[in-house]
Amino acid sequence: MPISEERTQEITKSLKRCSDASVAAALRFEETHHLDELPAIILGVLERDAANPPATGIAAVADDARLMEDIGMDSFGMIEVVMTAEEVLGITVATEEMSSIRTLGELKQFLSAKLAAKHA
Amino acid sequence: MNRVVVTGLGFVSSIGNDRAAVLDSLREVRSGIEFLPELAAVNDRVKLAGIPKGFEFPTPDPLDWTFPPQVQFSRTQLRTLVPNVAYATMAMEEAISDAKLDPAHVSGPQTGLYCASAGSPWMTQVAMNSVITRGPARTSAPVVITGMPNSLHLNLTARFAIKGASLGFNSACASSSHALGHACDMIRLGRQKIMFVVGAEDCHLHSILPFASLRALSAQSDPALAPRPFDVNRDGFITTGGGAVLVLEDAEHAAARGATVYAEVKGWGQASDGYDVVAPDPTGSGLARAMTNALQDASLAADEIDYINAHGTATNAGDLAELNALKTVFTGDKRPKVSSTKALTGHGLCLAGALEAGICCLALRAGFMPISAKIQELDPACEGVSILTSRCDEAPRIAMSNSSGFGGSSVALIFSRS
Repeated sequence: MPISEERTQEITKSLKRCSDASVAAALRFEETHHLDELPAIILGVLERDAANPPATGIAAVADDARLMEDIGMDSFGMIEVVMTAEEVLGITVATEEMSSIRTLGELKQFLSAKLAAKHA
Repeated sequence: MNRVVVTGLGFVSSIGNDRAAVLDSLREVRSGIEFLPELAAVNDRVKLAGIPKGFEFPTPDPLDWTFPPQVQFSRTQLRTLVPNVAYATMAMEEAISDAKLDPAHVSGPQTGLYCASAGSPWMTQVAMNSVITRGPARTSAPVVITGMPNSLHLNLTARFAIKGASLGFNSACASSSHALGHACDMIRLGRQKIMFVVGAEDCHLHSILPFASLRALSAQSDPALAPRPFDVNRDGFITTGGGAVLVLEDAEHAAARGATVYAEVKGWGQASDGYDVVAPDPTGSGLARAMTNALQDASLAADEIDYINAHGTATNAGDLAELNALKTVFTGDKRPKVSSTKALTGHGLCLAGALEAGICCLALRAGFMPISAKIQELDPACEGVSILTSRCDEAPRIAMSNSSGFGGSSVALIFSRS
């Protein structure tokens, strides 16, 4: 089903200042629900919100990188990432679920599992 | 008691964004007050303000804000920023560099930070509006900081990694003078070696318009006509924003590291009118007691004060109360010269005390007294008080800075040339 203009604007607004590639991935995901769009969306948000993304680009962050210690996410940054995920991906994340996410891999895994359950 | 000296200053103000620019504006009697079309467009009670240059806050999103090149903010710091914190941060950087403090001095257990601002009423409204109308799930979490009255304290202690005492003060327009007095006591008592004293304010519609409701502001459109403290036709104050920082330091500590000293903090005093929630006691009783307490604290006689930087906002009631207080305390043959630099800067509210204390330190070091500008016809009520209306190159040895706030709390600070 094509995405409504209103929903397109909502997603674009939530991803304000994220890369064009991540916005495009989020809009495709809204239509297809293909989980392989997820990494591009997540990296786009981390690139926007992390204090110390690698000089070589956000794509260089490995799955075992710790979000706070290694790329400089702080407590407000983590909340912002989760709020953006809720708005863009249409999920709800409980506060206790957030505390278990420490690495990039865990974040990807957590969101994939949430979305798989939602769209099953 | 330990002696306390001032070893660093930093300014972001309507009359300049560094020490040299502020000193130049004071010497050249250059006003920072300007006509603001956006203000005139929304009301007819206030059209002037004193806005620091080089900063733009076009939306409530800090990522849209621009700053002078001297100050930068990381993505993390931007999240919790409000305009007054941006001003204060730049002034802090200048004061730290002026005092030649290394990172271990700035972020050490013997260094504290006392600050004063009214928060950012603009950002508080944005925060509350979002959390009530969009709901908590769709509101960005940093609003808990940006909406707080002590957002200045929280941001500065984090950015500068302050390890000692840190506190926000609020006594309306006496706030940052209270912060300075209490910071001085911390060093005198040996509880800290260095204290940053910070005053800062936004100067957004949300900060200005409530005072227009109170009819406390001048409705003039011409910056040459307002504010006019001590002029017989004065008609209210004009607000200003910015940040001012003083580095207070234990005198022995400063001497041991070879710091340059602007002035010594000789003493301070405070008192309250106990009279009304907003109007000053017309006799100026609270401010008179504050000045007397300050003289006693400094072990100085009234005739030893050379210059007073008056609170002088240009409201009718405030100026008259201060004149009465001055006449109560200074009765001898030798009386201090008095000026209000708010004629040039505007009234900085919680920023005012630190800004004017900083101006006193600049004036003591440079050996001059800033004049009371914009006076066309001196109020006859000034008789017996020596209002400085023209250039005076006499070098003051001892200066006093007065601050009074709504609710009737007053502070007098005394500085001497080192």
